[in-house]
Amino acid sequence: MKARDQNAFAEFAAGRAVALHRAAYLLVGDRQLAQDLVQEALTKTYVAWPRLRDPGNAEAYCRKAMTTTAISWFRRKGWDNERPTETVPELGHEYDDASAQRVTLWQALLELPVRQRASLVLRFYEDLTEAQTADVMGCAVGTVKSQVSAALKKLRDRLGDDVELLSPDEMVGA
Amino acid sequence: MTGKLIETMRSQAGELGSPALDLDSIVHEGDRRTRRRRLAVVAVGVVGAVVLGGAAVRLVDPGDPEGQVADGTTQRPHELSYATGSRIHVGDTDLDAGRPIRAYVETDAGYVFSSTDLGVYTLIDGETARVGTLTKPVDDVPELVADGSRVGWLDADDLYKVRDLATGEVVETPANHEGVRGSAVSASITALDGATAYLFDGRGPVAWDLESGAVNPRGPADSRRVVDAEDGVLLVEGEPSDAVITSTGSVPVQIDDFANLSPDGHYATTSRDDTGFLIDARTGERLPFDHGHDWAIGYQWLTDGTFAAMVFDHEGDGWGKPALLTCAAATGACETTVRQLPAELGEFQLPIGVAFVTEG
Repeated sequence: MKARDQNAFAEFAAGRAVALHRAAYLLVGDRQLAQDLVQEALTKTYVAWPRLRDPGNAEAYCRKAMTTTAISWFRRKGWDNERPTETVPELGHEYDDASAQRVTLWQALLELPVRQRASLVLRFYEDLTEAQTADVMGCAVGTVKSQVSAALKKLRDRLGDDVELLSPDEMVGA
Repeated sequence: MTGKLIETMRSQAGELGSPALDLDSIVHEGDRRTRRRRLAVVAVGVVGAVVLGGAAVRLVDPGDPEGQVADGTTQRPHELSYATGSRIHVGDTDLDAGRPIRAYVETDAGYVFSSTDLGVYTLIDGETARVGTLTKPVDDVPELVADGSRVGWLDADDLYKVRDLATGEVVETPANHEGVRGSAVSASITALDGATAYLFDGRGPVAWDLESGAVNPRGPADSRRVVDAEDGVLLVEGEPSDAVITSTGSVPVQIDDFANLSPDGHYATTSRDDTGFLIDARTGERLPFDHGHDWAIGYQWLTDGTFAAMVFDHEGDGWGKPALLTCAAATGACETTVRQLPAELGEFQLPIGVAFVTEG
């Protein structure tokens, strides 16, 4: 890669590292693994950099690389929802109902099949449209709808109907 | 107002700081992969011969050593070749194309190459003739796809064109970019089979009947991209998994970026985890591939059971000059055919329709 492109890539990586790391953590539920995932996604983006041409493409490519890599890791290693996670948040002495709900919800999120979890992260954390989510996951829009629907049902089954998983605004399209 | 789901995800993610990224490692590993991907990504576009939807009836005349498949394409054995500058090297023979060769393929009726002026040229019996113009080729993406005596490419003005070198007949259909969602989707012919070309563009995967002109998006029943197609066998990528599809069923396989079926659809060369290997396409079973080098990838089928492979060996901190092997699928045994190619990708081209460009 030409030096000027390497500089542009380094700038991109530095600028996006935190956001990527956070999204990666939501996908895999483990800080070290999330860091490895970001490293791998950025490596793939570096390889593709000469043909991505503008930062918007790089952003989309990197997000896609990270998601498909995470799905691939879980699929190949047979982790899926059986994989133990490093951190179950500690409640401590001052937990309340809201904190307890978040702990339970986080644990339930990590127990979802990776594709269902990825669809929730992309749709609601990354705030992508269904079409954009489908593009990132490499599947049809209908598949995204069904993955999101199945994921939300599992979470509701786990937490009960009293918990408002999504606000009315967020529910649009879900 | 924010629901518990987003609140929880933001809360969990918000606890993380900046990751300890190793940029040097990313660059080092990325450069290492780049050299390999140049070939791997490219090999998607290698020769194909298939009948859409099954009906894989072979019409082989026992007296015809070339054989013929149901799609009407011949299976003339190809000879291992490579190109440097304006010359194609085949065994002890050098063919002068008269123009710099950017990318090239071999058909049953001659060679087809793109040049630095983005023209598409045929080279038949020593005569070079311009037959088209490439539309904005993308490095590392196949720009020429061949099968039997046909060759296809995305011509100027976003027209897919397929030319039969044996008859001179040309058919065309427009590419469609509508529906492309933002990033890195290039219209391309992904596989070519006698009477069917497989396209990928804004419509997703598309099958184009070259005889009737019908263009049919594949899906939703099977909307996966066709990576390669040969003699009644399709190799597709996507959910629920990458798969080899025959007239009798589907076999799940796992590929990274490319796979290249043998002309009879029996075998496939592919790669996974940055390692090239050979599989039995009917079972997905990995087969012996005794290349004897640090890294190898099969990139072209010369006959039903023989393929060409490019290999590298470590040299110091990097890689030495690549060599080309001829390998037998039945045994996995290989022998060296071209001992040393020029050191850098871009200084030579292989007949896979992709332009290797020089780094830097």
